[in-house]
Amino acid sequence: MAHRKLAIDGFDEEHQQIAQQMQYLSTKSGSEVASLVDQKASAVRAAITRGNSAEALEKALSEPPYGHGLEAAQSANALLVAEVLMATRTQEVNDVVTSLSEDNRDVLLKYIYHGLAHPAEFNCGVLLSWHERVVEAGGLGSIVRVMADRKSI
Amino acid sequence: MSILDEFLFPFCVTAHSFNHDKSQVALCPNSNEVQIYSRSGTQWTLLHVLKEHDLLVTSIDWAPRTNRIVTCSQDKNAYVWTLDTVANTWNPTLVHLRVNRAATQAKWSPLENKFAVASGDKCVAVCYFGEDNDWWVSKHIKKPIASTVLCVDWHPNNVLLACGSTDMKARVFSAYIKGVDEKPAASAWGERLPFSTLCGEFESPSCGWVHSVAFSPDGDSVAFASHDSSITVATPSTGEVLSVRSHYLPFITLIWTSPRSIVACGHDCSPMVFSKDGASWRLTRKLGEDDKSRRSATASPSNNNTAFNLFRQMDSRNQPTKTTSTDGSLKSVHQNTITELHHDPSGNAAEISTSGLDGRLVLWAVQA
Repeated sequence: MAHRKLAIDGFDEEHQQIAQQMQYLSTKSGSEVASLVDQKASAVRAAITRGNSAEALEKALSEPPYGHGLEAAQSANALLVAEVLMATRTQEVNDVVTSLSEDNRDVLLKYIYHGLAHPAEFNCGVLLSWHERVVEAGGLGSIVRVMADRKSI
Repeated sequence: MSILDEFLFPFCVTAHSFNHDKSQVALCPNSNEVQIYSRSGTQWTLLHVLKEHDLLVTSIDWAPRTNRIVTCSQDKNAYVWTLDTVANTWNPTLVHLRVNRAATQAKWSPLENKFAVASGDKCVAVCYFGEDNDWWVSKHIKKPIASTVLCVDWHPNNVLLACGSTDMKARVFSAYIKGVDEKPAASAWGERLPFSTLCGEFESPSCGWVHSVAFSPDGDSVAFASHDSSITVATPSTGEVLSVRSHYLPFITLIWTSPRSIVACGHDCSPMVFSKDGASWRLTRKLGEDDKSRRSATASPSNNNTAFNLFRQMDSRNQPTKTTSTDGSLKSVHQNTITELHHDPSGNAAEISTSGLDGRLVLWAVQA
């Protein structure tokens, strides 16, 4: 492509509209999503203190705040999921992973990769051990889905 | 599920198409040529080289009954080749595609009077022979395709066309051409459909480029393989869109071998069979990995000692068994991505052919 110096498609008006069409837009507003994450947080923390990691994880992974412009809610949700992952005892990790539905497993993998990309805020060692279990259950296909999905957490 | 035949060519086979009785095959050796080989025993001998395209030939389709070949390439052109039996040469006829980007796939319709060419120009060109001008003319299906179309497939009624695109959607359009087609009977996809009517639009659960699309043998469902490692089957009459998420790398090609089974293959180098049991689809078989007779012949010199050798290695090297055999090759038949998967053109539903980047052309028998 050495002969191309201009990105031709960028000059095409129609293309801009179509590119926007392809972004995943949330149906809820920013504040609605933020309050949703907060409500989840209290339920999740209660489940953690009860020692029920599977339930806590399911709650944390339900209704992820997909969409653009929702960074605050998305990072809050990510930290919430990380809390559950660290609170789970090592012997229970395998059981919790197998109890997840396919959808939730893919969402969990997205959060794991999100965490691994921000080592300052997340405990990567814990994330790596979860990663191993999740990929054992979901195969390479689940990693491909994390990369291919337009819905970013 | 055995391998009927396996041939190794000294180049990557990026596209292939057999003639009507599988005595000849047209291949693209990852270049701008199309090579036609004819079978002599267990070998293929080169008969013709079709050199007309300037850039990589992306797709070849050999029409079984009319014996014409359509090829399309990244050079924005497509040619229809007809065999001159007297001179024994293939003569190209340029197709007036009118696209401004590469062509990605070309397929003859079931009656072989039209063909569809998918292109990077966000459109599908449906081409038919214009008698008055004595060349192939095209009509474009453009809206609402938002990006490169990667694959096309015809419905058995010769009118409906499914296409998969990099805008993550698989769509079904009507490609009815007045003067060439008879009015089709009403189907699950609609009735009275003028050219370019959108009859259905589908997406897989995690989105992803749609690499391959195929209608079921009766035309009531459409299946597509997308880059999120899943295959999805959509049936408009019941409204259901069923997806199977696979554990493997994405599939780039798929076909229906029966109304209840689909074979898909791609980056994981083995054809995988998906069957419908009850209301859902699931992976039932991986072809070619448990063909013990073949593997023991290639893996170790002494045919019957694979198990013995395996444990002996485990013992001496203190290593658990790995997924690849000791010589570094994959357990599957193909050693690299499978590029294309086709039905048997003579209509035998139990046979399929695959070509791969490892240079292999393999014929499989799929037990129903």
